Amino acid sequence: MVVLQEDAYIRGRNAKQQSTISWLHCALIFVSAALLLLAHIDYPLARNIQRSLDLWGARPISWARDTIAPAGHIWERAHLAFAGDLEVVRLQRENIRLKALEDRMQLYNVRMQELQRLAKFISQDKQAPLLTARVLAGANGFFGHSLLLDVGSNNGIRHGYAVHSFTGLIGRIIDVTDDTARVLLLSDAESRVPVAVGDNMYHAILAGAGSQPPRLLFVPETAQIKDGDQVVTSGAGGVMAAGRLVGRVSVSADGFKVQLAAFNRKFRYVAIERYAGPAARLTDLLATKALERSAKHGVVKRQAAPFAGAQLNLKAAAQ
Amino acid sequence: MKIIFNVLIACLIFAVTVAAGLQFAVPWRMTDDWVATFSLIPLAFMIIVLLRAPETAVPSWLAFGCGIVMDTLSHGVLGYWALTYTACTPLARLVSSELNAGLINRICLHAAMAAFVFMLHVLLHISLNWNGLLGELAWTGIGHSTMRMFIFAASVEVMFAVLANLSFQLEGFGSLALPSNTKPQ
Repeated sequence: MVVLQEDAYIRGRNAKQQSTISWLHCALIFVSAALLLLAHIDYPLARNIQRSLDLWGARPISWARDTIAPAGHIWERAHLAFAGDLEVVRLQRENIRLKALEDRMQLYNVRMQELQRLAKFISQDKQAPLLTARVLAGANGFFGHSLLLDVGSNNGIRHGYAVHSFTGLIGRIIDVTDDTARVLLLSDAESRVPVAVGDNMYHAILAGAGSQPPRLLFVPETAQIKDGDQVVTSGAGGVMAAGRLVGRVSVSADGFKVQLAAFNRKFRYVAIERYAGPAARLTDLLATKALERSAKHGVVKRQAAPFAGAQLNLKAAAQ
Repeated sequence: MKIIFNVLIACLIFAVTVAAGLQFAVPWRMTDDWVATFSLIPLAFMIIVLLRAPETAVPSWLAFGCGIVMDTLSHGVLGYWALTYTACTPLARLVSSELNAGLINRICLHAAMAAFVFMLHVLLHISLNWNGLLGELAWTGIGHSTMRMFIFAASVEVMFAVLANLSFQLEGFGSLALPSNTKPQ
């Protein structure tokens, strides 16, 4: 009997060890599921909560990025040393050194071109078409790929603006606060961008696919697309400018995929293209309406500055 | 004393969550499944604590809060990690009240929790229908991350068992590690 009692104690069958799921736990599970669902359907309440949390988390993330980033380089070097053949690494370094010597004669010319491009690129003038932004954080999930930038509506950033790296288009702005903006990368599963493919400019939709290369949807059946065809933005819908480089087509058994020109998640600085297309007013109007709804429900304070023009349009439309 | 211990444990869990979440801010070369693995480390840590500390040490609001923090730091879909953490901790608590004695039982519990997390994630991806991407990507990505979570938790359990065994041997109390809730003789 004593043995049985000991056994029961060890197995936790005494009264104190019995556990049940409390009502608070059930409520929190329900709240989590509700948040997930609302965030998935992009409900304004969930978006505003996420925006508030982003603002709260931007500062520690920025600090961590500045503090821990040097450790990232150590990781990269370790990764390279373990993953690659050491001989190949040595030859690559030697090759780089020889190329550097060979290119010395052209160095000043290249530097001048780079500086010219950079001078245009980092212009902070609000009227300039490009605005450079620093990446605060990047999110990698199985499907969700986004970036958080350190510029917001105070810098003239609006919904829908295209975001570029040095090599090509990387995504578009989907959420703006006063000081931050969120970029939905082309590789995100929710991303849809109208593109034109090849010399004949076949229109299609570029759909993100998480870690896999993005796919081309709604390609005309008669389209003659081959490997390596260039993919650029078509400008359809008026949100983005036309002709911006996206990547190149890769034909596979399960359809057309696109190798992005800027498929590198380690973005530190990006350029935001302030394209005032025909849809810019519409996106402002939609954003203002969402803000109005949120303010009506007391979720966020009313913000007049970012969408002042659109609010005027809204009033004019109401009249 | 018990309150101070619980507060310390809660702070430790929160610190682990923040530390695991801040890796999203660092631009090092990690694949998606490794990123997901780091997000599951706080959950494994919570389960390890649940098996040892009193059950008030990991209250439901702490699991929910850690999940929200992870959602914020990862800039993912709001509620994803909150739901994962909040759904797993009560289950771990229920199972641990029956099966928390001995190293093998604990490792089995971690395996069961990893399987539950795998099924939960697959279910979430199916139900939210992320463009029908569930396939090779989910099986490899979610599978790898949950497997690594299990390996991490099992390694910690083995390490604790070895340390406990050594300490008991040194103190002359025997060569077997006793379960944490065994009544002292």
